[in-house]
Order: sequence, then structure tokens, then C-alpha cells
Amino acid sequence: MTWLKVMFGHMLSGHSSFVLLLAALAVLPGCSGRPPANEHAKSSPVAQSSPKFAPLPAMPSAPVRERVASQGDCAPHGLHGGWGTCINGKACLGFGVRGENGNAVCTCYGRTGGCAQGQRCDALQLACVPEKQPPSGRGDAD
Amino acid sequence: MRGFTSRPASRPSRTRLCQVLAPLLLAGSLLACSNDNEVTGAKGDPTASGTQSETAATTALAGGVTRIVVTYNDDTNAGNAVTYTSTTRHISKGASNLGWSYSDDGGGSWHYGGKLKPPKGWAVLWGDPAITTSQTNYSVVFISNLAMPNGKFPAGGIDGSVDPFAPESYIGGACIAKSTDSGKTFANYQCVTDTSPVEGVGDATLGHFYDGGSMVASNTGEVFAAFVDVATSQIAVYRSPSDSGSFKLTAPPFPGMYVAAHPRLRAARDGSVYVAAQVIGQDQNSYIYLNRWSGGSWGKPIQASYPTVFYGSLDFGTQVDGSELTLRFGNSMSYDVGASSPNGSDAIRLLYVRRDSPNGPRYIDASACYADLHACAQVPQWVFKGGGPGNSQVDVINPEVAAWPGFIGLPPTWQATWAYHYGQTGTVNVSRATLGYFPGTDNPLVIFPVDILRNTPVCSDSGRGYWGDYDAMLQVGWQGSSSVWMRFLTDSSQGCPKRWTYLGETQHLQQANYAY
Repeated sequence: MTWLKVMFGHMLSGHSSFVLLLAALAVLPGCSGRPPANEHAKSSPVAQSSPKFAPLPAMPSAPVRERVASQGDCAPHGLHGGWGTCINGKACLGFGVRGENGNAVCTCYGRTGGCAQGQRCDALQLACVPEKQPPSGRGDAD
Repeated sequence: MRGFTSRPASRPSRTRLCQVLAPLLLAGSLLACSNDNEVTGAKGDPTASGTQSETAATTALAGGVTRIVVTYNDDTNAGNAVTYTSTTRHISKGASNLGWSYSDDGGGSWHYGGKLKPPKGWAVLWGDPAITTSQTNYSVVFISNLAMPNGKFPAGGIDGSVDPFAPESYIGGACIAKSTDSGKTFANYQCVTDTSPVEGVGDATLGHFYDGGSMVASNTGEVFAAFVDVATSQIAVYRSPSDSGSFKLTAPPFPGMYVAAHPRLRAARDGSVYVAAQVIGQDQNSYIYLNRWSGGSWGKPIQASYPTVFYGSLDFGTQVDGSELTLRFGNSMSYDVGASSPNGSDAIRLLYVRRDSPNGPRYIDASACYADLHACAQVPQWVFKGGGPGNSQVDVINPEVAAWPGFIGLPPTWQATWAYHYGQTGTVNVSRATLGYFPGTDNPLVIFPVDILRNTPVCSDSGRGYWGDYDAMLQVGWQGSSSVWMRFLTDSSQGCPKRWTYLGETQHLQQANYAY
């Protein structure tokens, strides 16, 4: 186990590597097809009374508005066929919805104005994605 | 079967200490006990001739024996129904991805169940499998698959993608199959489709485009099936009042929201059923929301996460068979309903994938919610952010959470697994961890993951990075008073001689199980 200690030592301070080494050693003898006994003994599925967690910042959902039909012949076409609409006589990389004042507005699932040039509004990801991204691509690899 | 193995295991672990002190380490030398083998693809097995990936699993009772049933995207013996070239594929009428296997000895050996043909009126069964067992009759099992109705299927078949331009597509609903012999055989039971018109979706009246799939059976006898309705950006939840009833569409669980991603259903002991999906926030990020079916209707949806990762793809930074190795994933969250602390604040425990920057590591974040969903909160101790050797980035994908609620002499347990990748390798590992507390305290345990699968080679297709979008985890039995847990994963250990646009070979299935 010396090499293990050395490796830990390179990566963490002496105290923390020692703690982790102890944890590692504690698991070693438990390999009999059964869970390491110490692992069970050192955990409980529930807290004693009232565990304290951290609040989640609330984010309202994007508003859903009534869809309106594409009108006119200005809908943009893309690499994989047509995916835009024609809203208020302007090309819309997205779809039209009824705005608060009743007028049609271009949007892509809450992104007012729709997508930018070079993008398309994707119904699977509910977002603007690169125009070159094929259907079922589900995101560029990075 | 590879036999019972003691695997060299453990991996970068994030302890509270590490959160404060340092980037995480890759231990790489602890021992964990897991038992793994191949589920499909064994020499001589019918599945050896095709590919299998993307799993959903359940247990049933067969003559007093626990049977594990796993369903998957099954390209076994496709014959001429699906043919491939290096750049495309052709899908003919009659194709089916609905296949399954089962084990009667705790996963020691597996038997191929076969695959179903599409029922009358439907051209193709197209995967995204879901499965559940009736809670009033443990020999009744249901499987669902996405499906293409005849009315949307081109006369000459389909070349290439089945999503030519979502939300318009060839898929127009889903079909549910039923087994009355504990998952040994299945027969088509009912197909579900929504043909209501949708503004801007020209083919909606031929059947809304569904994606994903999840099924659950409640203790009250109801059976549920859920899909994301891409045409309406809602989750379509179908409910049957019993395991012999008819599935009907419920009211939307997330009204007034843009909803996407594969939904996930879970059931509680009191008969209530939960649905989770990803909702677009005003900041354009996606958040996990939950809702609860109780007393015959949906309650009020609640936000249960920070911004989370949607569909995505990992670049492994290496090439296999002459092309860049990438891995697409379609499941970024999992939760279950189980034993809760006395104040009830953690009856639901959720893990999901987060990312703090466009190129940053994908890591696990955690939440807990009350069973009645009046509040959810983050559990910082269950966050897991790994780091690899040489400061290499660790990416975590496809978390799974499963709870055993407990019974006389069999204590409740919360377990989680996930896959992860680091460095410029063509492999992934799978870790397990306990979601619990230090005994006699209110302090959550820090995540201390232990590997149950290591250095599993990935052989995704070259066009999409497809290697199965999600995988199942479930409790399958006991060893003494310890629960036995099983996690499935695609298996490419037989090599990767072929990576075409729509085909990665080999792709079979494996499982790893462990006792806790």
C-alpha cells in the first residue's frame, strides 16, 4: 500500500491523504460478495430527525403562449429542410405565438425573437441549436 | 458468464474534505465486490448476431422464483427489416426493436425472450423501452416501445434518421405489450396515440411524435406509461385503472410549461405516482420538475433542481475504427421514492447532471423532496464532482437512483449508480454510491463512490455517438439482510470492428450487481 500513500500524497495534503488512505484500507477486506460490513454500519438510510438541506433558487418556467400560424412565404429553409416560419412578414427561426398585446411574436420555446442566423429551433431540446446539427444529434460532442 | 469477480475498483471520490481542500483524486486501487456478466451477445445466443442497447428492467415472480426481465433496443435478427451501409440505414415496414431477455437465477444466466412484431395498423416498433410489473399480479409485466403508425410510414421505407425534422416525424405514438407469464413471453396489448391537431405541426393528426418512455405500476393496481410529446412539448401520461384495463391519456402533468426530455415515472407505497421531466425556465436553462398523481389527479408541479444538462454528447478525445469516438446520452436525471427521515424531507431523492460552463465537467448534483412535493432542496453532501489523473476532466452521465423501502428484517436502502469517463480513453466506468446519513445524526453521508464496472470499451456509431441513451438499475433480491442491486450497461467487450453512421458493432448488454 505504500504506492497508494505516495499517490495520495502527491495529490493531497498529508492529513487528507491519510484520511483517504484509511478509508481505502477499510474497504479492502470486504470483498466476499457481501457488502463491506463497516459500510453498512457507518450509514443510515434516514437521518435522526430533520436533516438540513440547501434551498434551491426558484426559476419560473418560460411562459407558454398560444401558437399562431405561419403566414406568407418568408419562412426560412435550412440544411435539413424547412424549419422556420413566417411571422409578421419576417423570417422566424422558431414559431409564432400570441404576445401579451395579442400580436404575433416569433419565439423558440420562450426565446423571444427566435433563433439567430446559423441556428434552428429544435423541438427535442426546446432550444436553438446549430443549424448543422442533424436531427437526433442531440447536442454537439465536446 | 464471466463469473464472480473481485474487481480492482474505486475511483475519484469527492469527500467533504476534498470539496474544501483539493481537486479530487483517482484512487484506482480499492477493492469492491461486484458480479458481472453478459446479458446478450454470448456465442451461440440468438442475440449474438445483432446489436442490443438501452435498457429498462423489472422483476416478476415466476413460480415463486424472482425473474429479472430486461428489455432493450433490439436489433437482433433484423433481417431485411433494417439494413445498413456505412453512411445510412434503411428501415422497412415490420421492423421492431422490442426485444427482451430474462434471468431466473439472479442474473447468473440469461435467456433471450425474442422480439415482437408491430401490431395491426402500426409499421414499426422503435425502441426507447420501458417496463413495469403489475403490483396486484406479479406475473403480469408490461413493456412499451415508441411506434410508427402505418399512416406516417413512407411507402418505400425510411432512409436515415427517424427524426427528419422534429416535431414532424415518422413516430406517431407508442405500443404497449403485456406478459402474463412473468416476462417469458409478450403479446401486443394496446397502442396509444394522440391525433389532435397542433398548430405548426402538419402531421400531428397522424399521431404526435413521442420520444422516451417510462412505465410504473402503483400499489392501487393502476398502470402508467409516459412519453414526451414532442408536438406539444408536454409529457403524455397514460393510465390504466388495472393490469387488464385500457390506457387513457391523463391531463398534462406540467400545464403551461415547455417540457422535454425522457420522462421518468416512479411509484410510492401509498399508491401515488410521480413523474419527472425537464422544463424550460425563463432563463432558457432546463430544470427538473416533479409532479404527483394522487387521488385521481395531478397535483402542482415543483422545481426540483438547479439548471441541468439536457441531451448531450461526450467526445472521448480518441479515435476508434478511424473515426472520433463520441457518446450520446439521453438521460440526465433519476430519482426514486423510499424511506424518509422523520421530518419527511427526503422521501424523494434525485440525482441529476449539472455543468457549470459550456466545456466544464458534467457532474452529479442532488436534491431531496417531501413526498407531497410541497418542497424540494439541494443536498450538498450528495453532490459528486470527480477529477482524473493529471487533472483530466471526469464527466459523469446517466445517473440512476433506486430505493428499497424496507420490510420486516430487511432494512430500507438508497443506492445510486452512474457511468463516468475521463482521459483520452475509449472506455467508461460505472460507480455505485449510497445516499444516506451518518448513523444517529442529521448529517448526510458524503458521496464515496465505488466502481462496479471498470474500463468498459465503448463502440458507439460514428454518426450519432449512439451506444444506448439510458440504462436500468434495480433491486433484484437479497443476500441475507443486504439488498442486491443490478445495473445494466451496453457491452462492447467483443470488439469494435465496425463504426458506421447508424451502426456500432459490437453492442450487446452486460450487467453488474452487488450487495449492499
